[in-house]
Amino acid sequence: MDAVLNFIRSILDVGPNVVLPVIMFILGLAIGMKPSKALGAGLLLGVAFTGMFTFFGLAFDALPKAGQAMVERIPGLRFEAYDFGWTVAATISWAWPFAVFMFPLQIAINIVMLAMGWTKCLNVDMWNVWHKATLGAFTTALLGNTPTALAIGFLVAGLWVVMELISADYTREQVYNLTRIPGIAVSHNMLLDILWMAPILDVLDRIPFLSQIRTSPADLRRRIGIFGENYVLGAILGLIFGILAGYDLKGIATLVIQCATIVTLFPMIAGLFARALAPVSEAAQEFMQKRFPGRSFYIGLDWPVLAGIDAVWVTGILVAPFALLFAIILPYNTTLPFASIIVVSLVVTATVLAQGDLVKSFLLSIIGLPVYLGAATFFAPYFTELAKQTGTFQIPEGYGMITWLEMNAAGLRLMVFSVLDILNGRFLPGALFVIVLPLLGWYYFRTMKRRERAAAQQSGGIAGVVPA
Amino acid sequence: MPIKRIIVACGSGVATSNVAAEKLRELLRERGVNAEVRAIDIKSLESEAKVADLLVSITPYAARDRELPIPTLNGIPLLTGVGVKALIDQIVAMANKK
Repeated sequence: MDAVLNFIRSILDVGPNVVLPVIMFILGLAIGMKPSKALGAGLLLGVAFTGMFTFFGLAFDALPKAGQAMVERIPGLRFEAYDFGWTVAATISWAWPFAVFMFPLQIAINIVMLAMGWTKCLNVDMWNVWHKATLGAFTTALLGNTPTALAIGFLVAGLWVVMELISADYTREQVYNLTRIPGIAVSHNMLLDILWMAPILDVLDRIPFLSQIRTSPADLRRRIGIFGENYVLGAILGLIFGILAGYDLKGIATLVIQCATIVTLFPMIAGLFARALAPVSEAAQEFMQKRFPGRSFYIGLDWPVLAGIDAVWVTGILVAPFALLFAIILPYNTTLPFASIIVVSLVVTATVLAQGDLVKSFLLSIIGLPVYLGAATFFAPYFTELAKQTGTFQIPEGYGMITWLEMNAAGLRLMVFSVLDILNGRFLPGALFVIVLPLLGWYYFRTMKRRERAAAQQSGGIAGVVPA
Repeated sequence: MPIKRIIVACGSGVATSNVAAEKLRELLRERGVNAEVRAIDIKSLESEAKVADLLVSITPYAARDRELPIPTLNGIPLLTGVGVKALIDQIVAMANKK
């Protein structure tokens, strides 16, 4: 085993931007891609990595510098971790040497569960495989980077795949009621946080006047206009950070442009990852669909099929100032919200659960914010350590940490990692969640059928029938 | 109007829309259609629609109340693989119309 680990370490020394294209090329050939296509996918992956490293090196220090200036000026602030959003989180996760093994893991579990009739969802979303890599890598790090820790890391990733499929099954009518797209479900792991949001929504539902507030999300979304665009959001944050940091006019103006640039360019570069992985995704889809011809299943997709719901963006924009406010006042928080300040995964999950009710999705998101800030703070050392280990991003000493505020299913991840921490001899708060998690699971299965029925009654049901 | 510029929208303009755009690009190339396909962020939809001829949307339900100046097609088949041919046929027909 040591020999294996040493071998991996020696490969890692070359750098993921060189190693991963090679692995990608081999993987591409293995799943039956044409050599020219596999080579193209591999090369593009290398370009994406190199692009992210290069730009990160240029852009990184603006934010920590402003953060440190804020901390020095304003007593009580303790920002140490900087939210660079999912693009940076995904790059770090793909660089984990075992990341590509999450493809076969996800596909195998899905095929077994379909064959056994444990799910009706065929998840073709190969892009979000990287979340499983994050989980595997962080579990391995939490448990001490041993081969056993690695095995448990894969176990946790596998558990996540199972839960995503079950979650897709149990949210299908609710997704259909919002999108009216038949034949699909959302198998994205963000929806797993419904687990702890569901009981909270049921409490909110009992407050009589809440349900009577009428809003027009479509109208509000139109009013957001240009403020919804990434670069405008980035610029506004740059302005706020510059003022809080006590910069002079030139300093503030520079930070405004830098922040707008970061939030605009990272997604552009990260788009190359998606293009590189598109043919792999397609090959995996064909592979799976060939195995279940004529069977009745539906296709599990990534969350953006929900991105057209107006309540999502309105909730996100309303939540952003609170994210910053909570980041300043919560004593345990060290995360400076930035690239994912509209906390998409939280607001989308709240919107699905609240079925488009803006008031309730907003309240659920506000209640969820402290959890997401807690998770971003908790996982910051893990992101930063993995980035250093894999040589993904160079972070100079004393420059704080990288993190990701919008971490998907942040609440469930925190609970699961607390439970895993018991293996390190830390019984609290893990022992608490050993009791809480089964109760939440019981509540989930007890109430999700009711929610599905209610959604189907509104939409008329996916197949034209309301499930029993 | 012949279709020259096609936009594919998703939540961030990164993952899903790029996967769908890549597939669309390839399928159109196979059919001999010479069109530029771009993945965009749905939050920029209104401004991007001004410089495009066709929107292929993975959120077809969202096009209703947006009063876009261009036609919208349901892009879900690009993701699920179900009904792709019909979608491509439609685009090819639109592209060849003079």
